Amino acid sequence: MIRLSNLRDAFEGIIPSVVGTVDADGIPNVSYLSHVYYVDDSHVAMSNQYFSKTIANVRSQGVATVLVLDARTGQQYVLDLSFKEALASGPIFERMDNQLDVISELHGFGAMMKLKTADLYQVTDCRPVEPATTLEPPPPPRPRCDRLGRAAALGFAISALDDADAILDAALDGLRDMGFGNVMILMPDADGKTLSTVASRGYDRRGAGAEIAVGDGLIGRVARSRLPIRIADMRSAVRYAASAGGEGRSIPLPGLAHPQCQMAVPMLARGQLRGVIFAESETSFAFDHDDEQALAVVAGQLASALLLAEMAADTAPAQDAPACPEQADSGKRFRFRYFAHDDSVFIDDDYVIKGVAGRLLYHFVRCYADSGRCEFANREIRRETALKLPDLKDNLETRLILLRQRLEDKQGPVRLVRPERGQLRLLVAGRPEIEVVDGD
Amino acid sequence: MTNLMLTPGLADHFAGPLMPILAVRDDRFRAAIARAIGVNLDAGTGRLDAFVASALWVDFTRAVKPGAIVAVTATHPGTYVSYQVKGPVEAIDRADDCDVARARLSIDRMLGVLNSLGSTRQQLSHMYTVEGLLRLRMRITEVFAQTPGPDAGARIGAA
Repeated sequence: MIRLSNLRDAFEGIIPSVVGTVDADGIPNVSYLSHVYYVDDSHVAMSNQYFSKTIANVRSQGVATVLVLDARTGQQYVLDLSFKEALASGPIFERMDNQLDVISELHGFGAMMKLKTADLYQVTDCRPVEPATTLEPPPPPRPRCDRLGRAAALGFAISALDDADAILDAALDGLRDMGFGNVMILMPDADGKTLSTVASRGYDRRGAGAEIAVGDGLIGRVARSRLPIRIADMRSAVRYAASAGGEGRSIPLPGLAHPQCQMAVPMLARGQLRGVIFAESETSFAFDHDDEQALAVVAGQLASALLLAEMAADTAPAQDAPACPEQADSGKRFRFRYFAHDDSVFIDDDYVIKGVAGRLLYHFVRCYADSGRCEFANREIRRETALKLPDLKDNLETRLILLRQRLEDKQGPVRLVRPERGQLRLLVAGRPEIEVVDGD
Repeated sequence: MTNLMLTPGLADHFAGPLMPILAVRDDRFRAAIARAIGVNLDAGTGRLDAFVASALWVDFTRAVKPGAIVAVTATHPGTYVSYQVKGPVEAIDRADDCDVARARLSIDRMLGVLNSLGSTRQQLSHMYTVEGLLRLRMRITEVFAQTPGPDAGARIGAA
């Protein structure tokens, strides 16, 4: 029997599979099904949504025949299955449900394909459908590279760092070197309802502060389920609006215009979602299962390293605030509006940021306007009750990185620099005229 | 004689671009599966011809015999609207030149349709061949709705 791990591309849910069964009288039934899910070398799971005759036949006869197609090569395989059990919960069900949701959305089915159970089968035989003639020659085999080994090495390098800036840079550079050319890292906001882009590589703009709602699109679904998702081939899919946004109080997500392969994995530490790593490519099947595992290894290390960096920054000694350096264009005025209801900040009618990062920016600029203060220690910021920062889970370090990058991207009159670890310096070119707006 | 369960709507469906799949019981009491290149429905007589490449679908070809009950599900690739018909096989013949020519046209048509829906020739590379093409004639005795959704599997006609 062919090892199922050798035909992982046939279990991507790209081309619908076929399932055939017979009833007690030997009457056959044949149906398409959206997903045959790889479990291990001798087990698969099938989605049970609506094909009730198939389910009835399987329950009475205990067997099914499945035809799967490798969407990279076109090679077809027949699997003889023996029913084991119907799973209504657990990791196989959760992961399959998640993947099915995404594929349903990609193909415009919405919630129509809701999973009832994930039916687990033992594969008793797996054989190829020998091609007679083919329309195309087989594609070249996928190059072999030790991505897991490289991920482990990158994880080791990340774990040696204790500064959030350096950790994010090392992770993104390392991922690029591993072949993930278009990557972004997003962190959950304080309310847990949205994710904000903290850093990215491989796009024409950094997109710091760009948000996506938890539950929306590939990234949002991964955040909600805390399970990785990979879409190997998006050629026949309805496109996700990955770069939606940009109007009013939002920043467009960076993203490829024509992605063909996307993958997102959760960053988990101490059982908490610390973020999501998202990777995409303009090449179908650019990422396989090994890539997903490699990214998951890096994501775990990154989550732990960033958490430790938050804790280290919290205990860093506060420095004496030096005198503010001479600010340029100090006579020029600019309008700084802060909207209290969502902590959004606009400078000269130009949207900058919202949420915790917006609240921080308002705090810095208010302090500067009131007292001329421009130096801030992370430790003090964390203890500033007016900021209402909910302890460590708020990712202060990464939020400050996000804010710094966003201000740099905006090239406006307000900038933040980091003279040394645990310290921030506000650079203001001009005189802010602060307006606090309580309503919308 | 018009077959009442084969409505004009069903006939229209079977005349459209389709991805037909077939199953028959094999001697292990399992389903043997095949894809058909095309199907022709004669709504008047209630008979359906399915064209299957025996060179590709060895298990199915070995299992299918005159008198055996065969199931055919025909799905529109753009809408996923599907119907399944079942009934006994009346005849299995080697396809003639006319059938082969028609099958080639059907392949060209389906490649165009599926390419427009995002599938590549590479992905469909092993699916379509006319090698060892058989014409399998069945008499339709049951019709089922098979479109994905809560009504999938509902019987909508029986002879």
